[in-house]
Amino acid sequence: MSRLARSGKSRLIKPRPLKQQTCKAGPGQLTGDLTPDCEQLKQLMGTEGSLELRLLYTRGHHRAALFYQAQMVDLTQVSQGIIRPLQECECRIEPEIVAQTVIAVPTYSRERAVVKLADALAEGKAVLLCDGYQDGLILDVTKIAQRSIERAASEDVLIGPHDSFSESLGINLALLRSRLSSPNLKHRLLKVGRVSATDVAVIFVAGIVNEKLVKEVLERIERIDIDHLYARTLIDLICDAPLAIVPLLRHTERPVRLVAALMEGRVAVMLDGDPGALIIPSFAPEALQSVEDFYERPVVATYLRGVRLLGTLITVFLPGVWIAAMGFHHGILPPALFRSIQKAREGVPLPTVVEMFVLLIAFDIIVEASTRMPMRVGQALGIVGGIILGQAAVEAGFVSPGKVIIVSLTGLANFTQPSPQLLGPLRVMKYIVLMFSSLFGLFGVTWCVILLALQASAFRSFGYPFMYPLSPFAWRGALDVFMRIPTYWQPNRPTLQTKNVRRMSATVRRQKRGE
Amino acid sequence: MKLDARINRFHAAMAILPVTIGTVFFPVAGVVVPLAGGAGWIAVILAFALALPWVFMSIGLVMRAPVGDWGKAVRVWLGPWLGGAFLLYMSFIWAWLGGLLLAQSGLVLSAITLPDTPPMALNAMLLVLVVLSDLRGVEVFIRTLELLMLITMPVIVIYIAIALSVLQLDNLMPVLSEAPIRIAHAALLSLPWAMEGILFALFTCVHVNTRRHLSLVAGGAIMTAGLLLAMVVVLTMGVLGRSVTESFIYPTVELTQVIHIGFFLQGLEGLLYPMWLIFSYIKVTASFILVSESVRGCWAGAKQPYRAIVLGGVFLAVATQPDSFATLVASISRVDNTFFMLMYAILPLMWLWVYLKDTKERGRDAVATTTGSD
Repeated sequence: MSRLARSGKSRLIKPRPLKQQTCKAGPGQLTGDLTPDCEQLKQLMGTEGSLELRLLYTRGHHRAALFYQAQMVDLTQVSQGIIRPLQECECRIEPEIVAQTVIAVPTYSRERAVVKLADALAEGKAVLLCDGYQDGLILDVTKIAQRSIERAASEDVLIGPHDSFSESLGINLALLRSRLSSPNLKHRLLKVGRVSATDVAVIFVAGIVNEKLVKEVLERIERIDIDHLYARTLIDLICDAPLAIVPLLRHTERPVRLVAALMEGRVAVMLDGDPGALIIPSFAPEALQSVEDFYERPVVATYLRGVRLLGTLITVFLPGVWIAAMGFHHGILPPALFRSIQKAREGVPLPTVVEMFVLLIAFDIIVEASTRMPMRVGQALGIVGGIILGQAAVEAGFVSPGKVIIVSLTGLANFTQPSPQLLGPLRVMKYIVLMFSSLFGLFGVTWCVILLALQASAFRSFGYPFMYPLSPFAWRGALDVFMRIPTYWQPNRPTLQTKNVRRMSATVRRQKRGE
Repeated sequence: MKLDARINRFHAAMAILPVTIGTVFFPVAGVVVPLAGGAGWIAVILAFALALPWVFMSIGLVMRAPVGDWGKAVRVWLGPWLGGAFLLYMSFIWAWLGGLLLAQSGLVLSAITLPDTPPMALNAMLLVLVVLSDLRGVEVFIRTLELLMLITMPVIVIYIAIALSVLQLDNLMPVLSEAPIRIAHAALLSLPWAMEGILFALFTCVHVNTRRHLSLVAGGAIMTAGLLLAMVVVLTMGVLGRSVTESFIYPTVELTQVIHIGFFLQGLEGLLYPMWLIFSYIKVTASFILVSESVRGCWAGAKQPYRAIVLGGVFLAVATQPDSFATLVASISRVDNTFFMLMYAILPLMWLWVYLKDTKERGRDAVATTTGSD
């Protein structure tokens, strides 16, 4: 190991670019002579894979070479749209003429650099080289098996649209455009990843979005210099605090949610291969909102938001508060209640705190196990773990029934969260609160509350305060966190420093009021 | 990039209100009732109303200060030497008060809820939060206050609603049982609390971007704090009666222990401990940040995190001084009634100095403009 590496400075050295990616691999340009050009391209791509090379002879006795990856292209289109027309062609096969008059491929481009041609082949496109010409044609005949549009697995709802994004960026963009068919819906495509060259789309609605925000998002993405990019890496590399326990950028699988975010002046980032989109900026209080809220009556939706808030509080604080009340401040409980709880605990060998920790971890194990199992087995596992195991543990005197109730309630409350990204962080927070409450009682719980408030206030999502609209406090927004306000009471978009803040005309509001 | 990093008037008010109330929430009735009896609440309102001109003077100073830098603002008002002396004075009084409030939090919570835990451990725990807040900066502290206000306001409302339901009007009568001089004395003892709020308002408003109607906002926040404190006095007297209220240093604690909520919680104690810690955090952190920013104003070389760590040591050292409630209360009274009361004289002098300087500069500018146009 070199001295530099031992001192840890090696981390500062830029990763070495791969050989095949650079122009150094060969002369770099097509020569116009078909045989050496084909050799160059074959050398760059390697011959072990599924690369196909078809040498074609036209009726006019001209030569051409067609490269493609058999598993990644539409073979019907290749044979009927490219090979047959070329074989029947009698004229000279000059690339531009071929593309415009001979072959039947909707999207093409001309390229002279061999590396670019190899990149195109790696993406699943076909490359046509014509003898005597220094330009190759990149033909978009890609057809990769894709998952169809399905129900959102992690953000499922009872009412409202059920469609979700898939792994293909193209399909996702199409899905988005079908929901928001406006010329103002813009997207900028970037390629990130020195090896993977992953397509990243930055999407926004022009005229609504704050242009500074778009610029910032593009700058942060363009700064990324990495071999391979996937969704988690992207979030880590562009978010304001990668070590934050809560996600500072929201990920959604649902087109309808993304459209709503875009219409509020936010920016979305989509990544090829990721079934979802990142919403920028994201705010913590929005976690209580579900897509269903907008299909419910305001009163019902408000009640459900209250239930979710209560669920969140129970998840994080109930075990801690329970331990604090039982271990430190039992004076605050009515004597009869305290006696009943104590009586139920008689014979339990473990201390209260240890009992609570063990049960919570056991519950998390059951949840994790049933999540990884196939659906039906998972359900059975949940029943076995939750009911039979719990009952047996109580009967055996390992744990008290009171704790089982508290732990079950805490576990169930966790799943009231509409945002799947928050399930994990809330589970972790619960243990932190429990640890401090077992040491300092309600002092410890409150200490954690203040720490959470402090940390949450310090976080920013692309420069915007993460706790907006609760902090900095904004009346209308804060009200919308806890209540589902009728649409005509919200004529303005949330304050994201956009110039276009009004989303509803005054006429609509007047008509609604019957004026 | 900071797209939305601003402190506006509303945020400032949300910060000034809890800092002014602070831990005064707990001993206020115990201080004013022995002197003013049933008129204790009037004494509190009187004190805060009397303090309003000082609020306006402070905002008058803020209007002549650059945005966002406390040290620079003080130097603009008073010049380098006098400004430095003022900043040192502020550091001294706030460090002393903050350290004592830290001690108070540890002593009280150890006594009423965690008898097996040494107060110093609780002080250290609270100090960790305080130091973290200072490291995050003024804006994050104000944002945290907003969040904590959202948590504490419902609790205060519940507290008031339940206390009102068991309040006995007879306990408040007669309202004017004491001589006016004793009521005035009680008001005098309440004046330092108002001054704490005024000085924090002076500090916070320097960071506010929009300064229109700022005096109304700051005055409103401080007067609201006064009214809330007066209400606490009314509730404590109304529920406990005068004799019981007089016999406790922190009658609010006793009040929470005697009120029963239905058939569930035995009292409001469960709400008291979190409230005490939150208010202690608010007040001690406000003191800490004021000291930290004043030290930075005096000596630009005092960089973070070293500044916060050293100041943490200072606060902890002050917090070790009082070993009983009696010495603690005496120490806090001494700081309040001497150093903070002195600010009632210093602030008008500062305002006058800045006003005269401003007038002189304007006159000079007018002469220069006239000469130039000639």
